[in-house]
This record gives sequence, C-alpha cells and structure tokens, in this order.
Amino acid sequence: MLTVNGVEVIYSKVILVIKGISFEVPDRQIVCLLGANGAGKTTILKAISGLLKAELGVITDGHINWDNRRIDRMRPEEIVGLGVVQVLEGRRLFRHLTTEDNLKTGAHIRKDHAVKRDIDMVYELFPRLNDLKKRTSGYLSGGEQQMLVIGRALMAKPQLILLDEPSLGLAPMLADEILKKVKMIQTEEGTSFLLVEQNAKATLEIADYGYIMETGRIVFEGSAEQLINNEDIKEFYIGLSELGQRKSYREVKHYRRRKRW
Amino acid sequence: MDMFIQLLISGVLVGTVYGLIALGFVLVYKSSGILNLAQGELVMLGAYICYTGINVLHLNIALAFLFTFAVSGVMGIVISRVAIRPLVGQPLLSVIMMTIVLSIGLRGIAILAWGAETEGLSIFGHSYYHIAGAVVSEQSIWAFALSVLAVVAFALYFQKTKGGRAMRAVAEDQQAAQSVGIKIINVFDHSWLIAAVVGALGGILLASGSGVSIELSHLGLKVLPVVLIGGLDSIQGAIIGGVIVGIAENMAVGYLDPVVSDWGLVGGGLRNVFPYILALFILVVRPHGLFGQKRIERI
Repeated sequence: MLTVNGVEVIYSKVILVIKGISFEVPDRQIVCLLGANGAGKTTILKAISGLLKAELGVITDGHINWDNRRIDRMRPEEIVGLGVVQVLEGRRLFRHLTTEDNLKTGAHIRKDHAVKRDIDMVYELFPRLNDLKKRTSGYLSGGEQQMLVIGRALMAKPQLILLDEPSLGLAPMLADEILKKVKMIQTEEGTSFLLVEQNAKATLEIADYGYIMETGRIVFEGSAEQLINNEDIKEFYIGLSELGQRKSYREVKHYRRRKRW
Repeated sequence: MDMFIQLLISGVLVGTVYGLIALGFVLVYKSSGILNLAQGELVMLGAYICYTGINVLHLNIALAFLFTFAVSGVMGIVISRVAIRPLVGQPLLSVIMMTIVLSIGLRGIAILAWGAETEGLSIFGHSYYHIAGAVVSEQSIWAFALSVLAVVAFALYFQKTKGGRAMRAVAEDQQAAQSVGIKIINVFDHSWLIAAVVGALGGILLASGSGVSIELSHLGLKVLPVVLIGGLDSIQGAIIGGVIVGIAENMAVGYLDPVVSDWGLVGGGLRNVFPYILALFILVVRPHGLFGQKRIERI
C-alpha cells in the first residue's frame, strides 16, 4: 500500500508544483490520477519513484510511505528494489537495444535466475513482442513500444507500477488494448497501478478509484463508479452531455476553456 | 608497391592500438557525455606503472600487466568518484575543464615520480617477420594481437553482460535507466575504470615500441582524430577510426613527407598533423563521423 501524505514539491527552488497532496494506492488496485496538462500528475509520479531528484525538484513537505517504510528520501534504485517501478511518459525505451535486451535491463536489480522465465511471461502477455524480440526497439510501432516499456517494468517484479500516460499518441483502439492489458496484469499478477491518463473514460472503466488533480491539488476523489457518474467529471473530462451524446463543437470548445479553470 | 604494403600493414598494426585507446574515450562519452581530455594521460600512466612493475618491483611480464590493470583501474574509479561525481548535474563545460585539470595534474605527477627521461620498456622480443612483402616487428604483432583480444573481450562484455547492458542503457536514456533501477553513478565509475584499463594497455603497447616518456600523453591524444573520424559515440567507429588514423599517418610519412621536403620545407612532422586534416575533411562531409549515431526517428 502506497500512502502519499501532504506532499509538496518545489522545482528549481521557486516553483511550487504540488501543493500538499494526499492519496493512497491500496494493494491490488488500479488508482487513476486524472487532470489537465500541467496539473502536476507526472511530478507526483516522479516524486514517488525518486526520479524527481535528478530534475531539480524537491519534496519540501509531507512524506511518502510504501508498506510502512518511508521512501521519499530514497534513491530511485532503492525504490525499484522495494517493488515500485515507474513507466515514464513517452515510451522511453532504449532505442538502440533490441526488444529482448530492453526486457533484460528491466531485470537489472534482480539477482535471481528466473529472468528468462519472466521474459517468456511478458511475451505471453504481449505476443507481438515475441515476434520482434531481435528487432532494434527504436523501430517498433508506437503501440509495440508502449507494450515493451510496460513489459520492461514488469521484469523488475514490481508490486506497484506508476504508469504515466500509456495511451499518449496511440490510436483509440490501441489505447484500449493497452489499458485492457493493464487490467489483466492487475487481476492475474496482483500488481497495483497508479495510472496517470488524459483518456478519462477508458481509464475509469478499468480503475477502482480515482483522483482528479488540478494545478497541484486534488480537487475531487471517489470510486471509479462515482467519478463516471459525476456530472462535472462527465462534462469536463469525458465530454459527454446528459443524454450520453457527444457535445456539439461549440460546447466542446466551451468545456475546453472551462477545463483550464 | 612494396612500400605501400609496408605502410599499410604497419598502419593497421599501430592503428588497432589507437582504436583500443579511443574505445575508452568513447565509452566515457557515451555513458556520461563527458569528453575525457585526460585519456592521453591515462595512457602515459599505464606505461609508467608497467615500467615500475617490471623495473622496480621486478615482476614478470604477465604480473606486470595485471599490476598495471589493477592500479589503473583503481585510479579510474578514484578519478570518477573524486573528480567527476561531484560535478554530475553541473554544466558540461565544467566537467570538461575538470578533465583538462586532470590531464595537466597527472602529467605533473608523472614528471615528479618518474622524471622527464625516456625509459625503455622492452617486454616483447626483437625479431622481425616478413608478412606479405612487409617487414613487421614482433613488438607490433604483439601490440596488434593484444589490442584485438582486448577489443573482442570488451565487445562481448558490452553486448552480452548485465553490466554492459546497463552501460548501453545509460548511454541511451539516463532517466529511463534510473527508472529500471540502474544506479547511474556506478555506471560512470565502470566506464572510467574501463577507460583507464584499456588506456593503460594501449600505453604499454605503444611504449613497448617507443619507450616510456611524457610524450606518450600526446600520443594518447591521437584519440581525438580517431573519434572525430569514427564518430564520438560509436564503439566500432573507434576501432575503425583507429585503423584509419594508423594507416593515414603512415601514408603521410611515406608519401607526403618526401614531397614536402622537396618543396624545401623541413618536413617530417606530417605524421602528427595529417590525421587531424583527415578528420577535418570527414567532419565536413559527415558531422557525426563515419559511424556516429544518428537518433532513431520513426516517421
């Protein structure tokens, strides 16, 4: 169980990006963070995984606990060792390495000898990667690359995956497929997810619980069901009107404007 | 024609050693983006350490090699931890200035410890062989063979082992490497260790022909045209660039120096200049060098 308690993040000593955020990710659950660009979703993921430290970002207040251990002062590799792995936004694979070598780097912190078996497990989950195992990963398609970065994270045998915008830049069908796999990993492996997404509708379909973030604060939270049925959320993040039809162009423009608050 | 083959073969033989030295340079650049301008000094110190092992500690040759690798390796790690690590995250220029400071400092230490005389380092036999019409010294064959061996060993390490994969991952994307739990500063240490060891081996091999002196640090700086030609971030480019520079300087000595002398100039200096001229031309045509990595961009 991950608990984030009153965390405040300041970038470059002056820019307050996260203004006291608290939430939790229970074991075996998918929790999503929704919100517009610049709300601080990615920053909070990096604060948890420890990657923030390399970016001149500092946690100035609050604490982050993972299974009752405080992790906000730990280095990224220690946090990975405890079973918390971040999948960065933008499909950051090692482009000149083959698919299989990418998967092997995912197991870097492990000392056991079951790596080969887990590679096969990833291939089973994403059969398409199996056909491309010797391919230089930079030449995979966007969807394949997203599968590969998720597979690479799985190689560390994580209990919690911090997944940042997996559907970014993918066709809607592919995005749905990726999210389905996320659900599958959760139910089959018991991995919990903290999922950052723009695609609110598809995300809430697989999530257990959700938080809405806005300019560094959490403004709303609830079970996925509550969020889906909440009128404001529907209007601002899913873009559906009362009758369940797409809003007209004018109205959508209006909602976009309001989304910025 | 005989002369051409002679120059070609001896060029290839010495060029492999240059390639080996350049490998260390490329590795540090790939993993951390740092131009290690002290690589020449690592080469020079390697030769001095081996000289000390043989002449002061009276080790046999195999032990002297191991002794050199051990001392150089430790030195590489110390440099990485003491001089480079505190500068991680600082502007790249400060780090590069630091390598210049290191290069001057290490040269000073060498003069203090061993003096400015040229010492002999004859560790290989003095026989000569005839190969394809060229006369080749035993020393240069050893230098070639050991360099090739070291390059192959390194390539296997880089491609097939966990440590090698971590290096390639860090070279590619530092933050993504961190996200899978790779400790970046360890990889930096690793790359300096390897740079120091391959540099030291290169130093021993060069010194076995030319003797041990401060001059080796300039010879070590042959890596600059080598990596400019091969591509700063390409391992195979370093090797091929090394061979190209080896051949080029020999050809310059054989064919261009006499011409320059005919013009009434003193001549004889083209060996050191020609590789840079070549690098200049190659950079104009191919700014990334012959094998430099272009980013993979899917369209």
